[in-house]
Parts: sequence; C-alpha cells; structure tokens
Amino acid sequence: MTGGREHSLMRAAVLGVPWLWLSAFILLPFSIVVAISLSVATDAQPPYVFGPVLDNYRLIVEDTLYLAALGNAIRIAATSSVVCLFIGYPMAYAIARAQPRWRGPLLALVILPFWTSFLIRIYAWMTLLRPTGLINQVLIDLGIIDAPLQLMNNAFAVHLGIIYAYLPFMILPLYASIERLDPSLLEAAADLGSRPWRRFLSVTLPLTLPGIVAGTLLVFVPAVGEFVIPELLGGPDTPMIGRLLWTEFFNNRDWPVAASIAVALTALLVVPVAILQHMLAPREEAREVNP
Amino acid sequence: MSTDHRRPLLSVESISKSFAGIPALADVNLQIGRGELFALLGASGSGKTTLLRIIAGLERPDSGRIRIEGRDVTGLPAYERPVNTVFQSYALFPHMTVRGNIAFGLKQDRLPRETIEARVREMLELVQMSEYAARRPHQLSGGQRQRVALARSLAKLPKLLLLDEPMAALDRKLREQMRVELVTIQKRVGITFILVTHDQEEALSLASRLAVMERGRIVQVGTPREIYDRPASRFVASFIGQINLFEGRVIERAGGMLTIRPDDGGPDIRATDGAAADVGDAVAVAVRPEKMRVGRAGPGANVRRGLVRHVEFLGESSVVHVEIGAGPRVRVSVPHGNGAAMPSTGDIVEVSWPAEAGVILRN
Ligand SMILES: Nc1ncnc2c1ncn2[C@@H]1O[C@H](COP(=O)(O)OP(=O)(O)O)[C@@H](O)[C@H]1O
Ligand SMILES: [Mg+2]
Repeated sequence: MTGGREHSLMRAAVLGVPWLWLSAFILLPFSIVVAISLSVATDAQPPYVFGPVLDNYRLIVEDTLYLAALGNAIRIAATSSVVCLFIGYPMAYAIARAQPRWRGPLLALVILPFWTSFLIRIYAWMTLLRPTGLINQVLIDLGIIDAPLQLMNNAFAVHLGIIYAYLPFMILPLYASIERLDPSLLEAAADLGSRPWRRFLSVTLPLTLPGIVAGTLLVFVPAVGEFVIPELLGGPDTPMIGRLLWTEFFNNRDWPVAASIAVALTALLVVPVAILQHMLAPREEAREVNP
Repeated sequence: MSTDHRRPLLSVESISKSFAGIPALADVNLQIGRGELFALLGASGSGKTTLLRIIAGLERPDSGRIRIEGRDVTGLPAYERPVNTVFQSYALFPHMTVRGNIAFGLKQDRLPRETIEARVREMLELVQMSEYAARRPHQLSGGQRQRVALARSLAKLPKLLLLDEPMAALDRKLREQMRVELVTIQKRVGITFILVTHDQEEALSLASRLAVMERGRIVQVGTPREIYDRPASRFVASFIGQINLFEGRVIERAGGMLTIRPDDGGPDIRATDGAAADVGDAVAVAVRPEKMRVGRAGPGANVRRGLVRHVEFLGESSVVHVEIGAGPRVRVSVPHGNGAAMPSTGDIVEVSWPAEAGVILRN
C-alpha cells in the first residue's frame, strides 16, 4: 500500500531529524574526542598522531594527580548540590504555592542572572570577596574584624561560586514538579490524620522526587566539570578535574591526555545518570496517567 | 467519652464563610444524628463543598462553631478531627498501591502492623477490591478508584464520613449500582455519612434526611418524603422533581381550607394547607404532576380546562403537557396500564386535583 509507505517515510523523516542533529553535534564530535584520546601527543600541527594506544588512559589512572582532582571535583560538586537542594527546595516550594499572579515574576527573578554573562557575574564575586573587596571593607569599617578575611582562592569561594551559579538549575525543575503536585493529595493526607511534617515526607517528597533528581543532576554534572569557577575563585588547595583538563589542553598542549580525561569524565557521569533515569521512568508514567 | 443519644453527633452552629468578600455560606445551622445518611443537596456553587470542608477542618469558618458529640472542634486542624472525607477527585496517592492508600490513615495512628493489615484486608473485602490490592491508582477504573477512596476513608472508622459528589465522575449505570452499594456499606459499618450532591434523584433515593441549599443557605431540612411532598419554598419545589405552580392571592380562609384566586383569571383554587398563609397574601399553589389527573375528579376537586400541547412518553407513564388559557402550562403524569385512554395532542381536556394535593408556597 502506497499510503502506508508514505506514512512510514514521513515517520522516518520526522524521527530522523533529531537523530541527524544528535549525530552531527554530539556523536561525531565525541567520536573525534575518543579518537584523539587514543592518539600520541607530538609537537606538530595538529599536535597528535592516531595510535591507537591506551597510554593516556593508563596515565590518568596511574598518576594520582588526576584521580585526586576528580575526587575533589566530585566532593565539591556533591556538597554544592546538596546545599543547592536545601536552599532551592524551600524557594521552589514558596514560588509554586504563591498566588498565581506572583509566580511568573518570582520565576523571572530566579532566571534574571542569566541575562548577565556568567564570567562577569563571577568577576563580580571576586570584587566582593577579595581582601580589599566590599565585604571585607564593610566588616572592617564596622569594626567587626581588624584584618581582611581570606574569602577568596580557597574551597569556600569555589563552593560559594558553584552554589550561586547553579542554584537556578535546581529551582526550575523543583518548581515544575512541586507546581504539578495536586494540593488535594495533601488535604487528603491531612484528612487521614497526617501532621504537616509527615505529610511532607510521605506525600510531597516522594511525588517531587523526579524534580529533586533532575535538579541535583543539573547542578552536579556540570559542577563536576566546572573550570571557570575554580580557576577564578579557587586556590592551590582546590584542584578540580575540569581545571586540570584545561591546563592539559591549553598550557601543556597535550590533547590526547585532555581528550582521555574528557572521555573518562563523560562515561563516569553518563552511566549513573542513565541508570537513575531508567529507575525513575515508571514513576513518571504513573503520575501522568493518574488525573 | 460517654455517648449521649439525645445529643446530635454533629452540630453546625451559625457557620458563615466568605471568599474575598463574597459570601459562600451565610449563617448555616444543622444538626445530624448518629447513623444517619444525610444528603446536602444544592445547585453548583450553593456552598456544599465549602460546608463539607469546614466540617472536615480543611477550611476555617469566618464565624460559628462546629461540634462533634458536643465537643467544640472549630479550632482543631483536619488531622485531629474524627472525620474522614471521600474527595470529589478521590485524591488517591499515585505513588502508593491500593493497599498503601488504605493503610495510610492507620499508619498515622501508629497502630500495630497486624492491626493495620487486618483492617486493610477487611476494608478491601468491604468494597470488593481484594484482588486489586497491589495495583496503583492509575491502573484502576473510575468506579474502582472510588471504592478505594471509600475504603481509605472508612479504614479509620471515623465518627463521620463526608462524601463530596462521590458519584459525579461515574457513568449512569455504575452510579445507580454504587448508590445501592453505598447504602449497604453504610448500614454495615454504622458510620454517619454526609453526602454532597447536586443530583436530586440521588439525594432522594439515598438519604435518610437531607438539607437543600441555595446560595449559601440551608432552605429546608427533612426526610426525602417531607421535602418532596411539602416543599417549603418555590425554590425547593422547583429544584426537586417536577411541579406545577399556580400564582394567586388568598381570598378566604375557613376551617383549614384556603381559597386562592389565581392571577390568570381562572376559577378559584381550593387547598388544605391552612397554616402557611393569611387572607390577602400572594402565594403559589404547587401541585406535583402525579397528583393531577386528566378528567374530572371527585366532588370538591379543583378543575381546569385546557389544550393538550404535547404528550411525553416516559415508559411506565406519560407526561401530558396542557396549556390552560392565559395560565401556566401544566404537566400531568398519566400512568399506563390502568386502561385509561391517553389524550393526544390537540385534545381539549379537563385536569383536576384534590384540595389536599396543593401545597401553598409564600413569597
Ligand atoms: N477557595 C475559594 N476561593 C474563592 N471562592 C471560592 C472558594 N471555594 C469556593 N468558592 C466560592 O464559594 C461558592 C460556593 O462554592 P462551593 O462550596 O464549591 O459550592 P458547591 O460545592 O455547592 O458547588 C462559589 O461561589 C465558589 O465560587
Ligand atoms: Mg462542590
């Protein structure tokens, strides 16, 4: 039947567009990165020759520098994600439960910082945090401290920067899932004798779990690979894997090692995310079918 | 607490509630006894849900008191009241199984696990959902969800169960079946039910007593029979069932018999409802279609002559629509099967009704 064939051609075309997109802009570049990671560095243009060799992977596993930087990055990203969750959840909740006419403006305020360049916002933090910066100045003028506090080039500043920069990515998915939560479920729980705190734990929290997971991933994943914030706000005690990758690529011009770090990091982050998504899929479906 | 049978289970005392200055409930008073299946009947927007939510503790009244077994619960939050609700949307927890939903309320009381399991099993049997215990709400049909919602709120054995339009989401056949089941279940558990509905048929067929609400007020309380036979106002008369109204003025009152001169210029109407009106009052005489007949009735009956406009076949009976001169079009219900000839459209007929059949409605 020609009608049927036309139909399936149409389908193929419609489904083909996203696949083409993914192939051209994700699969292809990633394949190139994988190929570079299997190459040997040289002093030529381009600065590598295809092997294939596993030497670069061996190096990043054996030299503790890389693992330490990865561990540090994961720790900083995890702490920042948890802090973002604890700050973001009440904010998202308050916005989702505000009067409808307030929700739009409040969300706009959350997104407002995106209108300014990320880099400029981090520079702004530097002017606030440095020894001669605004915060120290005010504290000294008020007589609370005598000498400036070390607020910059340390782990504190990196955490602060990451939490500040990624908080909106936590709030938005949380807002979406809290706003979707049917308030009559909470009334039903109260009606059945559930006190406010237990109501939160037994109804609100499990039903907004998809938002919690999405928000945490949106903060955690990019934060692990973050290099601008540790570069500008961090110090020697805060090596992060993204910063190391940057150094390998631009300072050492060792593309193969940089590429192998990128591949390893991607594998490390994509696999757990895929597993989590798989685990949450049936729950999502249940929420949508139920009126 | 000792049980005092003279004391009502629930008393609603002078409850008022406004939303943004617009009154939703105005000075509502109501007393409901133990074991009743009480219906709140009213059009959409008449304040039924608001009253139910105030009884449940989900909404605060602006003024007035709610007492349960004499105890003032007005200030108690919902989770401390011995009241459970079947929500109109059912509000089942989508992340829990049927069993989890039914156990939810019992877990809040930290009952021993065996007690909870036994009670859940009992409730599943009561609503015939035992086979579905492990399902999630989205895997159930509308009727099944309703049963689960009912079981969930009965599981705590509340003193009072509130049901907000429980049948509204069901199709007609299922609705009739659930009506019967609801009455059976209510008898079995012996819990007082308050059922909100805008469906007069549902209220009349289910309730032991009912209250009719109009724009935030209770306009009449009584048994279905009382309300059907003796509606207290034009609103109640026309809201419940079909009724014919003859507007007029009382011209004589003697020995419990009123004589009313109809505004349409027809012959005077006699009615036995004496207590309600005095000479000179503007009233309406309300007569149910099944209390009227086509043809002349016995001596002393009211008779009007008119033109048959339409005959509506309803199965066991037909409704004959008769236009009476300048007066109203009246509906007369004529049963089939007693051999009486059915008039046809275009016939000139006499319709009659005995003086006792007319109810006097003021204002
Ligand atoms: N939360 C609310 N906010 C504003 N108005 C409300 C609210 N709840 C009810 N109302 C208003 O109160 C009136 C009664 O509503 P409701 O009790 O839901 O009536 P019913 O259940 O009889 O349909 C309606 O006019 C409705 O618009
Ligand atoms: Mg309602």
